[in-house]
Amino acid sequence: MSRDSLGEFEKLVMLAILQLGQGAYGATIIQELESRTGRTASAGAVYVALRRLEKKGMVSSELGEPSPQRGGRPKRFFSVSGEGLEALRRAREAFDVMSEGLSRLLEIQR
Amino acid sequence: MSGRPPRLATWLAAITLPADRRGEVLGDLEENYELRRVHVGRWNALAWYWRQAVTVPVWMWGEEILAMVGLSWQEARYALRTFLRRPGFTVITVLTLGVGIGANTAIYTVVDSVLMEPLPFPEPNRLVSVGHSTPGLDLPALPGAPGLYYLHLDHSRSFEELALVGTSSATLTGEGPPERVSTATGTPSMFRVLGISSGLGRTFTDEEGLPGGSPVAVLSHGLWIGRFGGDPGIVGRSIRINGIATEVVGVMPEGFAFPNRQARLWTPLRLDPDERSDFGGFNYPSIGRLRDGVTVERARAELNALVPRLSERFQDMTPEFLENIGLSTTVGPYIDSVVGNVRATLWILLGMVGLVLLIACANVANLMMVRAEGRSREMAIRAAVGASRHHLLVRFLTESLLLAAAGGVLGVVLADQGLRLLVSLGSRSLPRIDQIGIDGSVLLFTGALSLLAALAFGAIPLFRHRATRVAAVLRDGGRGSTGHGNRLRKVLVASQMAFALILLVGSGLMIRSFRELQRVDAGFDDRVILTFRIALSNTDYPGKETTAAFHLEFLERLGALPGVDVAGAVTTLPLSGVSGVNALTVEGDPVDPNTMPPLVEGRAVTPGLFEALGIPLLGGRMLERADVDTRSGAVLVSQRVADVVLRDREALGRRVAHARPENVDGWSRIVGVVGDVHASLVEEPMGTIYFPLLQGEGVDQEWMSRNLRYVVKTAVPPTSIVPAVRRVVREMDPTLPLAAVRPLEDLTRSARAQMAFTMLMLGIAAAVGLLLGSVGIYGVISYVTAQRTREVGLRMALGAEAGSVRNMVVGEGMLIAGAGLSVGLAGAYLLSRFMETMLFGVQARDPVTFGGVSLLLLGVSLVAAWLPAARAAGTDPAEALRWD
Repeated sequence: MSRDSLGEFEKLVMLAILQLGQGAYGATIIQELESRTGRTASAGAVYVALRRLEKKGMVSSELGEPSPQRGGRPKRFFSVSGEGLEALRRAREAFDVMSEGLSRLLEIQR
Repeated sequence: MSGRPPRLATWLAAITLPADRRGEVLGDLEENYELRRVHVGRWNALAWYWRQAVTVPVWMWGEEILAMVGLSWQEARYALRTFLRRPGFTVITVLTLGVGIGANTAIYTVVDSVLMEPLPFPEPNRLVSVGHSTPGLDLPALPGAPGLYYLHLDHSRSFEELALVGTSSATLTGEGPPERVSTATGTPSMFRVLGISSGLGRTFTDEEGLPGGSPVAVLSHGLWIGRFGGDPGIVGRSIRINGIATEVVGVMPEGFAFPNRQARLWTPLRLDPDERSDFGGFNYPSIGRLRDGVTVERARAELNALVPRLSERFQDMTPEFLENIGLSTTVGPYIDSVVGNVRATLWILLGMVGLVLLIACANVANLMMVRAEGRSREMAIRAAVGASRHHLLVRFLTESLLLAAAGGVLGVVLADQGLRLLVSLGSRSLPRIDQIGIDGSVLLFTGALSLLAALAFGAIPLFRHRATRVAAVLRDGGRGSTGHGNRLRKVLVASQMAFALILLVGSGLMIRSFRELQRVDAGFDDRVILTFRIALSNTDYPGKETTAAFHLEFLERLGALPGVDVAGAVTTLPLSGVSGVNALTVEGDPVDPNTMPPLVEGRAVTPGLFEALGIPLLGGRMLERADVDTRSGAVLVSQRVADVVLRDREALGRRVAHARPENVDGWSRIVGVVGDVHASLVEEPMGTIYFPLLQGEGVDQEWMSRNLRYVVKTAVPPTSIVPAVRRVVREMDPTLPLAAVRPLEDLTRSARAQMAFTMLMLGIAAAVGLLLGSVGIYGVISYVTAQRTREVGLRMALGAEAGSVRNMVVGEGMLIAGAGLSVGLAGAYLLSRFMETMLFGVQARDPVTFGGVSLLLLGVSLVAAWLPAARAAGTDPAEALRWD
């Protein structure tokens, strides 16, 4: 796998960060993924994805102040970088181009 | 029930998570746990939390390690899936490796912190200790003496600075309760030797090291904070040390510890340079800083060349005398004197746990081979459909690396726990123990070790695989052929046996030594005895009459306490080293100036001491109160003095002096002979002369009645009388501290601590080695036998007896074991001599140990081979022939 390509799970994690905006940190990202996909997310997989995205420069993080409600432990807040946003756009574009004319076939059955 | 997640899971995650992400991950997990508890219930939340606590560290470390070795996640996921399909194999492998790597990590951590970590002084490798040896006298290594110190100062060119530093203790009074503290007294040059300046104020000037200098002291950081509340105006303040007003001139920086961890304050050693013709005693360890570029060897050679010059300075040191005693100077790295004899012990321990790891690797290699054989069909198919050899190599290696990495992580966790145990067990016998901890270099070591282990056990099945012929395997139904594989397996098991034997010999020798040491009769009874020390200051108790009166009065009150059987006091406790050594001159014996008269220890005692310690009276009478009151000049000698010094002559009634013939100022009369007492467990007892607190003119010495160690035999648990003892002391003198209060048993236990520690560590290593080794031989014999089930069935169908089948299998097992044992015996024979210095009362090539250990291993092998053999003998031929 090349350095710049994005895995499926990594894309989902970035989208979750974007959905959460200012409040994106480990616990909320896991919650967001679970509530939107309806599946239990492995926390370890989320952390590994976050770390890898950071290394690729698509996500940046900042350690917040320790808060009393979670045993005084700090939160690490994540945000998607310009590069990350660009990569998501490209992925979306590729998906759209490839699925052109297939809308009927790929329509989501709600 | 609170909302907090389970503590055990949190702890597990906390110790296994990468440190830089620990806090936030735990926070996230805790937050999600609470959310889940509310929404999906406590049990679901608990299950989720536990799963994450275990898997998140695995994920995170996996990512790190994969990135480090450059393997792809895809390969790893495949390997992980394979492992999860065979949890038994995975758990056993990881546990085996974890124990092996953990043991090595723990011992390496100790080696790293105790032996390799440089001393906390600038350019520590230029620091040396200077000592002396006298092979002509029956004496242990000697420290420095003022006469030699000045000789070296005047003529040696190797040193930038030299210092004499002795240890002592002192009583602090005024502001706060009286306190007994450890102190060091050294020439003012000691701080320059170390290259450390004070944190506050200054250290000593050279003038303060001359006789008549005003009393000054430098405090340790701990003492400054603890007793003086960190008073910023401490420099220049006057404090009372041993009742004497002393000016504090400086405070050392935090963490400064010299010459030991206990020293709380430093005072100048006052020597008179004008009295260079006074040799003084060998009382002060000497430390020096070499000039830049000067080697230890050159300094040693130079100082030894100076020895003959002693005759020019000291008239009684004639060249013949120096020749006779064989005086020579030793110079060695200072760290050696800090670390002491632990060095050899630690290296041997590291070697031993290395063997444990080798045994573990051999086991894992065997397991991998069994698995590889089982998977040879899978591999062959992969190869047939075009997987490159390289690809298969990567796959194998990924598996090995992942297993080793998991073993490494487990190893660090085990080592961390093990170190805690080790530190608590080794506190009496390990120097620099406060510095022991897992750090970057240790983790690097563990990483490298895991990698090596992965290569060691990963390479063997690879090697096997290379030999696999695709077509043959596919045709064979993947059952695996296997003469070659079995030979390799047998070699592995035989080497495990060899390693296990070396381990067992090592620990067996230590166990024997320890038993010998316990059998040493120290010459006294240490049961239900309380000891403590009372030191009287010169100012409050001037003169020996005052001190003797105090001690005798105190002893009387002590004896009257309920629960006290008998009490006595002495200047030095048994097993506390040798002190007060001087020549013993016997009245009327001829004097030869070129030989050293016999040396004996001098101790002052009160009546009651021998009864309290259970030291027997072998002839004559004990000392009594009247001997002090009337200054009768009566003394006791130990059996050794009577035997060696006086030989066959009657000891009782003979007059002796504890001084060299030319210095005799008065005589004492021997009135009794008592049993010998050890000053150190591993050495023969030294002859001792016992004085009453006061004696005749010319014999009395100040030290004899000032600081005494009390020995109180009780009818109740010894420590239960401590409050009563304190009350008595307070009644007599409220400023007097009671120091070093402890049961005498502590002392004897300390004396055996180092050997007990080594024995325990080697014992654990050997037990693990034996366990892994026997599992190994059992596993291999079972496997090889199972493979031969068809053959066994055929034999039995053709009429072979069950017994002969059993014998055949057992015989094969014993052949392997026997080969391993022979190699191991040869190895142990060669290696055990490295342990010589650690042994006591047993030869390094002790036949009992070698024989016993061999029998033990043979027995274990027999059992390990018997079980599969019995199973084979019970084979139903019809079943066996259908075996696939």
